[in-house]
Amino acid sequence: MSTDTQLREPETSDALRTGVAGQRSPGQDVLVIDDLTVTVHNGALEAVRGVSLAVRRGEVVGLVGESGSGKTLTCRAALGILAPGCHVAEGSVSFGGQDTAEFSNKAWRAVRGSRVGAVFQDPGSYLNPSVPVGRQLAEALRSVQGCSRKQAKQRALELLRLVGLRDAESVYRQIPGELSGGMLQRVMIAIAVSGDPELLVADEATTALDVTIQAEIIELILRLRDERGLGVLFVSHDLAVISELCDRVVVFYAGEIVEAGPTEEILLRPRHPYTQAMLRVASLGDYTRRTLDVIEGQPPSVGAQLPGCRFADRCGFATEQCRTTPVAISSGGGHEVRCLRSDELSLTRLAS
Amino acid sequence: MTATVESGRSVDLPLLSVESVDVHLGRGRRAAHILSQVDLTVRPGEILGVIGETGSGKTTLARTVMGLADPSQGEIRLQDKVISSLRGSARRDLRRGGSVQFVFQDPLRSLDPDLTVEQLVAEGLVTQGQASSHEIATRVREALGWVGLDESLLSKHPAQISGGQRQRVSIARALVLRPQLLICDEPVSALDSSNRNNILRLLDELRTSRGLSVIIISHDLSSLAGIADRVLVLYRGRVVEDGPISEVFARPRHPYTALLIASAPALSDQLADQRPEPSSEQHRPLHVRQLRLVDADTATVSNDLEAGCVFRARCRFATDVCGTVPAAQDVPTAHGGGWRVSCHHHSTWRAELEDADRPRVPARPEPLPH
Repeated sequence: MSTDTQLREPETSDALRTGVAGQRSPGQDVLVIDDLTVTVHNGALEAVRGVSLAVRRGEVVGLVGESGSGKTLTCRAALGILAPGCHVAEGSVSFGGQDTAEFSNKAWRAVRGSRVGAVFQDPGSYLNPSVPVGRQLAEALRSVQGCSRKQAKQRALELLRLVGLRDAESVYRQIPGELSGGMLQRVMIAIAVSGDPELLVADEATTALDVTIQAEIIELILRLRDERGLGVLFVSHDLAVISELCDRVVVFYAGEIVEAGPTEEILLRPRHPYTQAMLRVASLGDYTRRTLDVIEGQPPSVGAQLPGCRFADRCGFATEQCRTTPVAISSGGGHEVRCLRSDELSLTRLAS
Repeated sequence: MTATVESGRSVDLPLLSVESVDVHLGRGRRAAHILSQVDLTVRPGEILGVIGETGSGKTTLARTVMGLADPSQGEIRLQDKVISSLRGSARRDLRRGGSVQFVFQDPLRSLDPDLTVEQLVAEGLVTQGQASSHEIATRVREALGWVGLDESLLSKHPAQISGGQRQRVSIARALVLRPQLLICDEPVSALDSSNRNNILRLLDELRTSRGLSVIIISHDLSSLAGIADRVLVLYRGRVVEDGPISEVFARPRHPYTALLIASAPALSDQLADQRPEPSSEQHRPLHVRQLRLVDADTATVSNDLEAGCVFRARCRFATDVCGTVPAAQDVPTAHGGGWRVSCHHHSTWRAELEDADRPRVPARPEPLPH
């Protein structure tokens, strides 16, 4: 496979709108998040601020950042499953042009079954441990798609084969405890894609899996992307996984997007010091003994009100101006960055 | 490199040795054979990495060393004392003595949310019931210092501190009993890269400053390679490879180890080209598709650990001889400490790949044939 299929370069850069990561013809976007602000603790703190991103058909978009940076909240807001106490304070989430703010519970249920599917970190905990997995999959088909029992079983077997479970008949009858983590995650993906959604939200979907299984799940997601034009919002803190899987990367830091663009751009030519620091500490297939790097300091606490750049305290390039001036995200050639000094700094992924 | 091991102190006296251990869980017809003929040694100040997939027996191995599961065969010794056959009060005394301590994967779930950091760290000492409250307070602060936590956290609850801090509290909780051996079950998999490296660095510092031996169970091969001295690879309850981590990862001798390393996510080709050239002793990495048996169906493999090589159903290089259990064979190593591999074809499988004139492998896997 050559590199040109790995990256979908923007056809025209003027189609890019500031603030929306790589947004192009609206018909192609399956998910558009616009200027999203999510509050936690009943509105006391802003945990996600002004996040805009889009996922197109047949595109895998990776959200990467530290724990607590707002990746999962953004996903949950997109799925309409924010925990109690968390609210969308500003901005909008839309699927195929429909604003989800207007959705009733019933409309949400219809959307979750048919337009968007979700997979989370720990597949075992989302399945009933005492019911055969095939029946759980068939149940989803019957309640969401309105299939008959017989149709549902037929379709469930097809889906199990689709996700690469070769012995679908026997897997259908097995309970979760009899299957490995990778097989369970495949079952979860089968359930998530059972309604033929346009979008799959995968929140740390491979984090708990072994590397051999993880490699298989990555292949499966890429295959679903290529064969069905599935759009994927893939959350991970593992840059190596992101680099293998994603067409575009959105980097979160302390509740904000600090950088976004095509995967190769971000990894080869990071423009935000945080992205560069993250690349420095990531263990990207290096099997030698070495001093493991860390990013010194701690991120600001959730919802902290800072006048300037949120990364300034940990940044080697920060100036006084960085700490005091609010900095907007700027886009150039599909590569967005939120840094005052991004033009003067020439960062590479290897420099420290 | 392996300086702490090679510097001469207690090189020949392992702190922990596990010899030919078998573990069965459950009874009667439902008994499952979890570990078979497991051997391992950990020397003072050594970091041993244990890798293997879910269900390969990593956690059972750790639990067996802790005395939480009983071996049906074999022996576990701490220094020269057999600990696997202890019962009743002798076992309780060993546990309370705290010479072997366990750190769990998810600190949010393993730390009682209702206790403060001070209470959490003090718990082991309080259970021992020997130290005065003044002594306990001093030792709790000392342990927090070792893990680099500030005393201002003492009154906080687990939910009020960050994930990295919570894992440090878990480690402090283990260290307060001044263990000789720390067993960490996936200590960093819940953390992001920076915090992950922070914790691993801390473990590395502790073995240098306190001569602590550490067993780290992890599926993050690359981070493990950064700090561990040796690696033990488990597959379905058997040790398939055990050797110096730098050598094993540079040139794995077991097809399963090779598959693991090839499966680990890495940067794409263009990015990898920016890296310094590999030194001459390293070899060109193999691609996962050279090693994976495409139609392997893991669902139908028998669970009998005695019926041949455990990896044969997924192994590209398996032949009829793999129907018998391969004995662990010694492989020469540059660093000492031994390198053992359990594969009938350990010296020949690679040649099958290297003979073939293969094209440059793509960075990305191709879609599965369907």
